[in-house]
Amino acid sequence: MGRDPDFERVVAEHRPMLMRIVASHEADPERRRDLLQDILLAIWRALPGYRGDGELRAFLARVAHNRCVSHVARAVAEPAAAELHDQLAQAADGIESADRQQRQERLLAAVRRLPLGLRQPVVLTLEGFGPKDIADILGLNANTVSIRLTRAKAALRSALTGGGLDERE
Amino acid sequence: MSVNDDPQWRDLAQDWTAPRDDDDAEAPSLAEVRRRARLQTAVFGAELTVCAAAAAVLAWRAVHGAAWLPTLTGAAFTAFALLAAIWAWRTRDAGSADSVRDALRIAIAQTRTWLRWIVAGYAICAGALLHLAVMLGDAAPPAPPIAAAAAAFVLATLIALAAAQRRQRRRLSNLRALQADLYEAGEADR
Repeated sequence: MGRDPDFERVVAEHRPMLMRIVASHEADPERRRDLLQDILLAIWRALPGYRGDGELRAFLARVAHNRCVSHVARAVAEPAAAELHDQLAQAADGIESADRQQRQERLLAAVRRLPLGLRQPVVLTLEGFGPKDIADILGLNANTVSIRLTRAKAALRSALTGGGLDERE
Repeated sequence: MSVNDDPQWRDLAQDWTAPRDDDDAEAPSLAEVRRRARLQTAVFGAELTVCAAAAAVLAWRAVHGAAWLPTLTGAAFTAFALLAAIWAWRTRDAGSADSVRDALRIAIAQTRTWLRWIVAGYAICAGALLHLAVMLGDAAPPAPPIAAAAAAFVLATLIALAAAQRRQRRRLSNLRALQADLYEAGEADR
């Protein structure tokens, strides 16, 4: 199996998005790494079948989400409620950086606590996909996606302002 | 509505997509991905080789006048292992399904098929144990170490099948729960 420049380029370009999708489905770092490897393997296999008839990013997000639901089904429990990352306790370079990192961690923790039916449309929305793309990726209709996003936004707002999640599983 | 149309989503999306300090530390290398793909191919190759070797031994024994019943049991085990290996190799990837809904459907169908394979495995093991019992009652029974080894092999297979069945049942139940969470609730939203 030789080097595949397409695969390398695609992964290099979209790895941050893939890692964020993985992070929203798995809190444990070791299992997160395994899941990302699973997704990269699935992309390796699926990439030759990509016909260029849609946005590559949406194609990759779909493969990643397909893998993530299988991962969640295999896991005995849902991802553990995220704790603030240890790194937060260590000094960040500056107050602004620490503040941003803290907001990121809080957001990630709130997203992970959403039920899967809300979490997936939320993650895709945060990645910049519109309801039509999200509907295609998840196999829902656009109206359902919009309704779920409205509920998810309320749940996230409540979680981020310290009220906890109303939509807990 | 995309993030650009809603200031609240836009703010959240900015935090969401901002680079994280630990991004690179977690990423597996592409070499690891390739290694894993090669390993899967090698495991499949090894399974085929073992099945081919077992088939060759059985054929050799049959040609040289071995008893037909153990040969038949061995052939059933070999065929089962071969078909299960080929099925697992051909159907393992739901990653490129058209949507998460389809991926879940494929995963559920695969899990059900695994459960059917496991039931077939039980039937073959039961047949093998029965056959062993008949042979032990025969006028010329197999040597005790051979009979013990055969019984241990079948029992180990039964234990492995039971563990796999428990795992697959749990997986099927989790997949159905996910399907209900993702889609049946979704239908009610419409």
